[in-house]
Amino acid sequence: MTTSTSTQPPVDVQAGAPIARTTRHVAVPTASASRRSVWRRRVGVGARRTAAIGLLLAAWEAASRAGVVDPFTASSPSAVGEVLAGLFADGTIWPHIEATFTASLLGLALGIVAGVVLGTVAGLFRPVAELLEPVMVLLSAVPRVIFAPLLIIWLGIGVSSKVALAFLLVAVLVFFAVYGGIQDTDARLIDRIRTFGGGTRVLLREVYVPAITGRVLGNLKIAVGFAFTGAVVGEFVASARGLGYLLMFAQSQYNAALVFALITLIVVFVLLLFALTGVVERRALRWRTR
Amino acid sequence: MLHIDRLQLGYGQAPVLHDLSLQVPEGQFASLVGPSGCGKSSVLRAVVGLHEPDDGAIELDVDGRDVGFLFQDDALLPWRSVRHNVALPLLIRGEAKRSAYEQAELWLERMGLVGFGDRFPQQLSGGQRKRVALAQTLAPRPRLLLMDEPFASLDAIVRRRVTDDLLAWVERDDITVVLVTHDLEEALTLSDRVHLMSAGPYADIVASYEVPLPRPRDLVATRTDPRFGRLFEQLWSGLAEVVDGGTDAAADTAREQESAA
Repeated sequence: MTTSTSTQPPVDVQAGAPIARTTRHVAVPTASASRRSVWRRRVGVGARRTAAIGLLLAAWEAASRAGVVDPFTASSPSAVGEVLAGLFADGTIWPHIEATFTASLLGLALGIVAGVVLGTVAGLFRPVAELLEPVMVLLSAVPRVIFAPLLIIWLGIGVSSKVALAFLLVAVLVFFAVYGGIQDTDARLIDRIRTFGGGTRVLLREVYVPAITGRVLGNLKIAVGFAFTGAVVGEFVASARGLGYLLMFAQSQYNAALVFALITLIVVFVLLLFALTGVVERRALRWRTR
Repeated sequence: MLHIDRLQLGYGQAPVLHDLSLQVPEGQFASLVGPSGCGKSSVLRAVVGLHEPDDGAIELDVDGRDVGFLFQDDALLPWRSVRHNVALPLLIRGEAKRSAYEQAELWLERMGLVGFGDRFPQQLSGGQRKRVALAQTLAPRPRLLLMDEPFASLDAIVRRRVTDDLLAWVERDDITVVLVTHDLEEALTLSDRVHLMSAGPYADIVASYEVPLPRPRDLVATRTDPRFGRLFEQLWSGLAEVVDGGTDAAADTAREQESAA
């Protein structure tokens, strides 16, 4: 192995990280210093955002107390907080949270499975695509919540009609993500695997599954939002439980404080789920970071 | 090593190659040059079975597994580590993961990429990715190496270094090579024989030039050899004729070449 190849220092490897370490004493920012400054900037942004939200809430509270806005319809942060505390204190909120979470998470899971399966089959087999695509295009063009009444007629006012609506919203989204992902799959990667002697199994493992996973994860946040929309809208239309049901109830009572409390709850839940999917995304899609 | 006999091939109704014959003996470094779109790449794709020929025969003296193919684009799996990418051809032929990864590390080392195994392709520069692709292609120890404009996307300096490295391995392991390129200088500096293709459709080989320069070759010294200049002129006028004057004139040149040789 004593060719010039193995002994020659490579030319174009200087882009690697170690260089930064040797220049610590110079004005060039080191890797850890730049990470520190990124961190500091993030903390700064977070602080400014918190301050802005705090300011907004304070203004709202003041306006409500001074009578600038009608405390009955506009409510106030303190009233909303009280309602929220009350909901958790007497435990009445739990069955509703459970209903909405069950419906949205079940719809999300089933929708992802169906979307992946249908998208993959359509992506790999042309006749299936010809059959499925028009239906899916139609379903994606219309606001799919219009099917809520039909689903309630078919499946009743229980949780299954909400699961079905969340499922419908998510499945179409995931279908297009996966179907498009397979169609966009780099033909050169497939050629490359073929020249190595790889067959369908290798292609699935090395090319399609990672490509599909990337597409699904890339759409996961939107899918989470869709799943909650499906569940809550389903509960709006007809139900006996759930955050959507409570929202309708609050509206019928003209209870703005309760509406705000429920909106706050749903926002917090979705943000939590977003943070969770963000972690999954960052871990699984590490290869996208340069 | 590679015998192509009266190869015919097209894309749908559009004919590309017509009665193309090519012999590449073992250990030879052959280049295919010709106008853009004449079907140079299709020849290589047909050899590895990525494009089904309409007629003709392609024979290899080695098993299909012993054929390596270096693409113009590095075509690395973006979601796999550099190490996994290099090990991939070995894994596909059933080697244990551990040994495949070990060999991958060795080839990365040979390509000057120590410590890059855990990175992802997108985290590397274009030259580094090309080296990874080269490591990936050489790791299964091909006897026949097909290359389709492998260095077209690299800047001049990186290109020379990577080419140097490649040439060292080809000469060391006595690998038979077929290089497709539109760069006449590259073809002459690297090859033992340069085949000139006519403009398509119905492209075939109209002239072949022997490059009698000594090996191992030094890329710079080769270019200053007086024979290099003469060959370059011949090849250049041959290509000009193919592009401007149709295939007949070029075919005449080819015959003159053959009788002179």
